[in-house]
Amino acid sequence: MNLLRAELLKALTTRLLLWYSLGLLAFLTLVISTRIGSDRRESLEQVSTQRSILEHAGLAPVFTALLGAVLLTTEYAHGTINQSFLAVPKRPRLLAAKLAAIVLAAFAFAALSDGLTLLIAKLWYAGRGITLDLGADHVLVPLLGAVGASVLAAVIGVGLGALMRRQTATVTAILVWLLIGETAIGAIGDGARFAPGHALASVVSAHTNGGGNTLGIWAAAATAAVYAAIFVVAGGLAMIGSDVPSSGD
Amino acid sequence: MIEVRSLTKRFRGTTAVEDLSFSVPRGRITGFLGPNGAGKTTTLRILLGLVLPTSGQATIEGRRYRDLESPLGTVGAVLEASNYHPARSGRNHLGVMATAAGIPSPRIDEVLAEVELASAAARKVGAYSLGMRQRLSVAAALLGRPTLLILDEPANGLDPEGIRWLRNFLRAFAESGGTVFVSSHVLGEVSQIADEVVIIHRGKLVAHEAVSDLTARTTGATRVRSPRADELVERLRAAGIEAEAAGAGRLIVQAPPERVGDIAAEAAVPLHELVAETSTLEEAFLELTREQPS
Repeated sequence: MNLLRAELLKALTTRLLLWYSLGLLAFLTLVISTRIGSDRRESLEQVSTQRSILEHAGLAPVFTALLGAVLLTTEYAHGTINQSFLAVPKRPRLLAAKLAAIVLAAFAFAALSDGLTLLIAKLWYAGRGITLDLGADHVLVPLLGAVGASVLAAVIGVGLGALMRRQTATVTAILVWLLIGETAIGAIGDGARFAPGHALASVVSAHTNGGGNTLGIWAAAATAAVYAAIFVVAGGLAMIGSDVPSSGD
Repeated sequence: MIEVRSLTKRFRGTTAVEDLSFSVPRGRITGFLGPNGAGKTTTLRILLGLVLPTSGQATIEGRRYRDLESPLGTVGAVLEASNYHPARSGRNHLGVMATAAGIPSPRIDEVLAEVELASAAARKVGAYSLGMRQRLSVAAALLGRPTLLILDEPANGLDPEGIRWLRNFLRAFAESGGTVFVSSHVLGEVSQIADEVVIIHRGKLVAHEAVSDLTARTTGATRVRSPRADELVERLRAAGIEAEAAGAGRLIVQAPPERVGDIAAEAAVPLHELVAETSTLEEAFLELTREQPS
């Protein structure tokens, strides 16, 4: 419990979470406003459209993947990993505490994303004089999917961060993969649905059955969980079996 | 208290530490000396579990650092002063370490006061001077009330006032029964505080002995002043002793004072000065780590 508190303290004593939250707010405002502002009234009244608008809460996993990577690699970037390992020399324990902390942070971040998505959508719908029917069948399911995907993405981020350790390289790798790699792999056909980004997107959309480039919710969750496990194990082994860099001799 | 046995560390073909063995006794201040690149930092980081040895072992109280029941309660480590997140305050840095180690938070204020940083505790570390960051490192090392301090070049970048503070602090720590193992290339500092020194060069042990023994062993010369210096030189050379002029009536003789005095007495040569030359730790260090012609 002490370790978890220490890791949360690390996250809360810098402005990292604040900047990520502001970034999320800006992105959600932009994409939801663009979507609702430009769509036809008849389309916006449909339950399927309303559900797809709430799927924008699924931006959160992108942020939590980066957050997980940054919370881990910032320790190496600033050299504070030395003090962390001095206080907690059993490295698997430290990694476990970091994972627990990032899971909690991802929950909070996804909840924030859900809340902001609902708020922005409500305001736009009210502005256009249309009812956003939150009681309709499965409309709110993507918000739950965003929570699950955010947690899995954060764990993947921590694992990748532990594996790569260099902050700029890790963040660049995540962004390049999500923006270019996932798009490129989409060209190969149905197999792309098993790519990590596609799987996480399928968790957010949370459809019972998949199709095309989309997996069903449980297959998607299992696929993303496998990626998370692979990255955590690989990152953990790298963390345990490597030297902590120093500028001395 | 510290045992290093047959320790070797290689980094991608480069040997940083090679078959190094020494021990550091409890309750003393031991200096850890060597030129840049000698392997001091690598050795200390292996000792602290931050670097994995290629072979051999380094233990504290008979255990590897990672196996200590209370790491911060046993060892306080002062490493690079740059190991801080600049956006975190000094108090927050200590708070993170204390929380992780289960140390009660009132201890944070105690160590901040001990290193005279209480007034700057709420400031971000990015605004600290190098000396303040070094003091913060010492505060972090003291959090768990350790009995052993391991310091890696703690005087680096400190101004004279900071160096004096550090020297007094380490002396007080040792006088209270603590053990100090401090690496440095500021030899003057080590000679003022250390009881003994471990000297390494190119990853290998060069010397491990008391400072007084080391400085005595690396000299043996005697400074002599006499109104009949020329006559004394002849007598000394006749006895197979090397002597060279060092100014008017002054000689440096490669023999202990007792031997020089006896020869002068036998020859009835008056002496106005007869002083054993003791080398400084710096001279001893340079002599021991001098490159041998290949």
